[in-house]
Amino acid sequence: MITFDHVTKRYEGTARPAVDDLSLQIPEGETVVLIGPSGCGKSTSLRMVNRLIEPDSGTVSENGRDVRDFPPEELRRQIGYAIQGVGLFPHFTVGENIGVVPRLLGWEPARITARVEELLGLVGLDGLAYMDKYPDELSGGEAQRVGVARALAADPPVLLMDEPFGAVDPLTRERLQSEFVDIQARLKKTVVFVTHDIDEAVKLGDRIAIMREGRLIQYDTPERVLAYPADEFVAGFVGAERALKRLSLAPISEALDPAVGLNDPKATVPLDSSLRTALARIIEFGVPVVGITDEAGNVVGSVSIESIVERFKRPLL
Amino acid sequence: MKRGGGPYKVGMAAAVIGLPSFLLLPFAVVRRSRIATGASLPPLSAIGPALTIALASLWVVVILLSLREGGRGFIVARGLLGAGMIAATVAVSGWTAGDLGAHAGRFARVSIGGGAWVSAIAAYSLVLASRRLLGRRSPLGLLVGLLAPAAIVAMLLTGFLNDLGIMKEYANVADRFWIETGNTALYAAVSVTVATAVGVYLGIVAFRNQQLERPVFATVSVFQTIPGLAMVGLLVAPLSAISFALPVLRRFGIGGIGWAPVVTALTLYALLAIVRNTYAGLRSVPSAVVDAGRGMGMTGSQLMRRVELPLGMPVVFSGVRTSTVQTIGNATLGAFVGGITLGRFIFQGLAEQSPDLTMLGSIALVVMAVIVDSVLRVVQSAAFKTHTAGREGSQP
Repeated sequence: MITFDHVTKRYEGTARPAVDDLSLQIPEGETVVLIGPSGCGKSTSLRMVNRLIEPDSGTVSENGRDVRDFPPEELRRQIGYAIQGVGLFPHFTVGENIGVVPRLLGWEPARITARVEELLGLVGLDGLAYMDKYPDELSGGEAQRVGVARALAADPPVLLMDEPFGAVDPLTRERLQSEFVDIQARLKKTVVFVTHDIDEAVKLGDRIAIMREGRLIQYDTPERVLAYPADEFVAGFVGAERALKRLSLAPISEALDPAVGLNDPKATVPLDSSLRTALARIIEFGVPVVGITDEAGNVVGSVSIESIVERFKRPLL
Repeated sequence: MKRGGGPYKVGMAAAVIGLPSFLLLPFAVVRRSRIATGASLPPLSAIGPALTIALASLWVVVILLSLREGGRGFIVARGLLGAGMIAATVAVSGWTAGDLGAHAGRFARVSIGGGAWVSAIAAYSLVLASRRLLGRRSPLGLLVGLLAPAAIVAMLLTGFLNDLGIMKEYANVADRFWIETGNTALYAAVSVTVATAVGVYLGIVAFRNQQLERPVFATVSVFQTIPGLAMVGLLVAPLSAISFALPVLRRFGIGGIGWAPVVTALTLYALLAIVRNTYAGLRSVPSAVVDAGRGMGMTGSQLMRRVELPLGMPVVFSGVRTSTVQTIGNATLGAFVGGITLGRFIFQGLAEQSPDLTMLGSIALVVMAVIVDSVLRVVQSAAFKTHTAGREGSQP
């Protein structure tokens, strides 16, 4: 768990603090997305976790220990770090890039090599083919994958990611995001993730912390942020389509009715999709209700416009 | 610039300078003896109408070839023509020196005149421009660049130029010439080596410590403002004081005169380019890369050794290259205090009013600087060819 306790940071020559009395708890094994417009203090907050920036007042602690109790280099080697533009070392091979922290920690070369191969596999790159490439031989998406692998190299419990998928095209970005969700489901790291993209935040975050002018405006699950924006600013930030975004977070099971009133046998949706997919199907086939199928393809229920609307009338806990 | 469009400006400019200089300035200067006042001969009386028309018509061809920029063929043709004109000017000068010298008596000296020099230099600008347009690695560019030097070396080796005043001066001082060439190279090498060690260190200090940035640059810059003679003069007193205080130093030749003040002065002059480029090289390392290194737990010195210095090295190296070329030129200082270098011939020539001797020293320095610069360029492009900078996975 990472705890921000009344943390304030002011840069010289600026009128207001970059981070203003921030208190925030990031639970073990969760992904917390810090989001807000430029200059809201999200990156500054992230960089205080590994002491790249020191707070003026307040404390940042990891599992109850003030991060200032650790020498900065030692602290940073235990925290994964991935940033926008990747920051791969252009004169190091992919293997050497991923092996930076293990080398700093004094691992045996054989152990580093094995780890590098394992990580390349984890991020979906063929270890043998990529190990000896240089960053300028990689596509943007491949470089970002290597950046993530590098952050995971020493198996740190905490991962700091500052817009790690910022510099790629939308398609690659979506793929990287999905892969990240899969990896995180397996690894259960404590992740602090900075972005300015609300869709990315909704997709990746267990919780979202919305910041503005150094202050924490709202800290909640993605669905609650979308359902109950704390103020006009948050409502504007999450966008007019926030209801649609909520749909994509809601599993079908939450609006499932018995399989009745089905007219078109082709108008079906798999059970593990979101309500957004179900709604899309309803519109696509021009029917009021679609069938829901299990993995074997058997119709196990239905979802209708009414059931979706009902689902969103229920208050969230 | 659009290819094939308007007139080729470099060619036109070269012709505008080269052709009138060739026709109007003296092509050769004849003296009855080494130190007699010379008689300047325009091309017509120096080399006769046929050769005058031939050389002048080469400039006309340059103008014709420069009427439009043209493609690759034009670029190569102009470069080769420029190189040929340099070789031709030197060859005609060598030939006419024998001819004119025979008439003027045993002790006569024939020097290359201003018109021939300016014309050859204007032709050289064609070679340079053509090389740049062809690219540094192009084999054709290499041919264009090496043609004139190869021709001149061939003429030197075959003795074709031996009647020129400058070669007669060389024959007189041949032994010393090579010793001083060696001295110049040695002094430059020692100075640049020391300056590199100190300069890279100072560059790192200035980069790492903002408070020291100004003092460091102020110090290394102030050396540049001290004229060479004054610098050597300023060093004579302290160095001789040191050598008297520690007589053991004198056994290594360290004293107020000799090589010590020269190498010290050269080192001080060489610092600025190296410090500046080290600083700039370190600054040029992408901030994301530095941030990643710090964020992953590299200490300051690990970051410097593994990331910042290796990535800044191409810029650092070009600072060393600049410094080396500059130091070879500065090595003339040696002539003042007995740490003799090629500068000796320049100053001796000035003192004796023998322009050929001065020219001998100057040309030797220029040639040495050009050769060293080319060698270091080759080393640089071989050593830092790949993966040191540039894009890092920014394409989707």
